[in-house]
Amino acid sequence: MSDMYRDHLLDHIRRPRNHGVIENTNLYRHEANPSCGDVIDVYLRTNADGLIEGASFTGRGCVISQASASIVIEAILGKSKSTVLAMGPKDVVGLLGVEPGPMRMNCALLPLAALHKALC
Amino acid sequence: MGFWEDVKLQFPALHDDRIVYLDSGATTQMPEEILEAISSYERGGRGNPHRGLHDFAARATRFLQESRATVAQFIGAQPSELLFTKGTTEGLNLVAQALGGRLGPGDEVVLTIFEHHAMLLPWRQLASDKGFTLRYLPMSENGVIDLELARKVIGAKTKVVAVIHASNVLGTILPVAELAKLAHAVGAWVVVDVAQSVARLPIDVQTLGCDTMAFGAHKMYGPEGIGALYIAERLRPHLKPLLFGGGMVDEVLDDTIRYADDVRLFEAGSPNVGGAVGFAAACKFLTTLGLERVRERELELTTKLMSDLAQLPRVKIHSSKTALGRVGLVSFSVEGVHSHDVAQILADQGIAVRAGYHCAAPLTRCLDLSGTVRVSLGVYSADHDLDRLVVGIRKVLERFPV
Repeated sequence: MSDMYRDHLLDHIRRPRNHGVIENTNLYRHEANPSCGDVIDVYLRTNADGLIEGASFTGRGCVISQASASIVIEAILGKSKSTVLAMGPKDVVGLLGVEPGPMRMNCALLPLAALHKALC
Repeated sequence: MGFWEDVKLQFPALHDDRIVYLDSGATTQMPEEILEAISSYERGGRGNPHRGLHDFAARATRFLQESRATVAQFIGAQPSELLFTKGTTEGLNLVAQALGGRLGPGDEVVLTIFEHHAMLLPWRQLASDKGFTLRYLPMSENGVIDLELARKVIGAKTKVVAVIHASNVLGTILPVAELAKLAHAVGAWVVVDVAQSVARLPIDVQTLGCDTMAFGAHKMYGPEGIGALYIAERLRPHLKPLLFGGGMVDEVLDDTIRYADDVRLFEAGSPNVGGAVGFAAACKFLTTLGLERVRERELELTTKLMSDLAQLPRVKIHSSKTALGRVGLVSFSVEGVHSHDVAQILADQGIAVRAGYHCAAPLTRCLDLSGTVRVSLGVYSADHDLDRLVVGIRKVLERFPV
């Protein structure tokens, strides 16, 4: 069985962190993956110093996309905008702890893409 | 060794059984005889058809002409009515650009909810550019098209009726011949996408009553990158080419161009001869098998597939429950599991299916927001493939308990 469905990913599916819409956001982005219909909405609150004070998401999609959203958003809380913008595919794969492979990479990267576009 | 086991043996990609291939609706595998036909053309010396006087050019010209005749015959058309494209999408775009390009406000084009993006998007784009109206025939209570409703929708304003023959999501066979009658009664052109049906049902352009019809070789056990567009003689004067370039003209003078008055007009650029040879070989392969026999076998397997799936808990079948009235292609969802996760866990067990929106977002979205899992059969499919699928789905259910 693929190790793509490790317990820690499934745990983020069962108990997604920072799921929902937080108050007083100043940045928002909707992204979708046309082939499978993965959808993600990210809500961000940044402060005057460019730090991410609050972040949350809502969405619908496969385990990889939704677990990635929960894990990546948990990781960026309190980080600076520039740190998040510097994150790339390798960072996401590192956080997920699994190599999604070429076919699922788009699913894994959808949340980071949404964050990047929200912050730009 | 039974007949169909022998057929499967002709497909080198499926020899070792490491993959249960249930994704023939996406693309089919190629048998030895088609691989051999392509290889034999390429090895024997390539040339650019109609563009040289040497032996290789003459040989390529002959291969191209014979291939065109074979593919045309396969669908009951004349060679002069069949042009080679790079696939179904190109053919449908060519037709939409030419027919839609001259429509405007007040005109209507009728499509169905079943359309693939290859049909839907060119028409949607043109409708927004030109200001004509698209009208969609919805899915009826019994999962097909309500012809009574179609009779009301197709009217004096209708200029084109564009319809998929067999849904790539549900397998549903649409009543193309009946829709064509309604369309022709009001003087509208009929455009048909037979990508999913052409290797599964006997198809004849006269019986379907279409004016133009597009399909691709790679879903017919032939090579990728080549397709065909049938254009009835009566329609050809109304179409114009998508591409301009070499091979499409009779004469180019300083101030005038005299375009070819046959299918060459639509085939600018060096033709894909190897592809055409493989395409023709695919038509011969299917003709030798016999489309009636292919259809009979597919009905048998589809019936088993439906009853297997129906016995699994949490599996919701979106396609209609009977095998009749559809091709061997079934969409389903597993309750509580996204379609991509189902497909991934099946792929991990060596079972190839398709998941997602299937390039038919409007239809798939109304079936299941998570997309659907699609199983599609081919001439190499067997009972034991379906048995392995059932085992595979049980794994999915175990991995994702409710």
